[in-house]
Amino acid sequence: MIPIKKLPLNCPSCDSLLSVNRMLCKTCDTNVEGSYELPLLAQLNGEEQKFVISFLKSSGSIKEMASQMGMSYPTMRNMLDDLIEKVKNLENK
Amino acid sequence: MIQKLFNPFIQIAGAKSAIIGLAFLILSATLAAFFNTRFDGILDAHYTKHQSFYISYLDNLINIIVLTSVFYGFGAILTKGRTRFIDILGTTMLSRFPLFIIPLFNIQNQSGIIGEKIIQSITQPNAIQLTQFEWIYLIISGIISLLLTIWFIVLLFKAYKISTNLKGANLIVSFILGIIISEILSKIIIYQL
Repeated sequence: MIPIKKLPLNCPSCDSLLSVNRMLCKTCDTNVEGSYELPLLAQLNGEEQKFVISFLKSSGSIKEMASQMGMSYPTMRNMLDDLIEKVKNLENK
Repeated sequence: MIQKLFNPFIQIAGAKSAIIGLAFLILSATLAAFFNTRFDGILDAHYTKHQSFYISYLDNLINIIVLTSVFYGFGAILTKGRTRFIDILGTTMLSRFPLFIIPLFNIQNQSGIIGEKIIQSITQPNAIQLTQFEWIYLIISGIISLLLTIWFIVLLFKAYKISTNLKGANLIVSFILGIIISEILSKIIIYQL
């Protein structure tokens, strides 16, 4: 079984947010080097990204998301509120 | 399983928890009437000589109305109106479900009789003393009742937390104040009626 690789977001040494330094085209093996900031959504952890995708797929309906995931409405709404707060903090960094 | 017992609100809240909570409230009030128990305050359960169904339902109703109003008030102020009334109502009603067990300790007026004997032994030194069985009954029922009350408070805290999404000092301080205010208010209302 191939382990699922997680995109590292923070530097293992100083814990600062990492930026993209190198990208690869898997078709022709071209390497692009430079310094690119991670987009805002990529700065969220795996669980948070899954939440955003589910939110989009359910057309922004927290009620529908809650029923799909077997959670209560306030639980989902609190997760969304916490995520909004995190995104705001990331934007202000 | 433990999470479901101490924080069922992750899965159930709003109208669904209000319906389940209402079923437990009716059960609790009915058992209280059958076994002469008064829930005369949000944290109180006392055994009486006679308890009518009307008073029993009214006590429970007042407790729910007071708890919901106080915690909704705090939630609405601290979250600037983002707290939903139905979430507070539903989760608060469900949080009281452990209390329905307490009246069962007064089957055949057992706890009431023990209570009376204790009062008599304080006022009259020569009054009948408790038997060994009564001592054991008193200790076990007392411990279980205390644990059930703690369980209710834990559930109420989780209910308030999930319904408001408050954190830190705002959550702790407003919860403690909410409990104190609700206890005082429920006592005043129940004994004024």
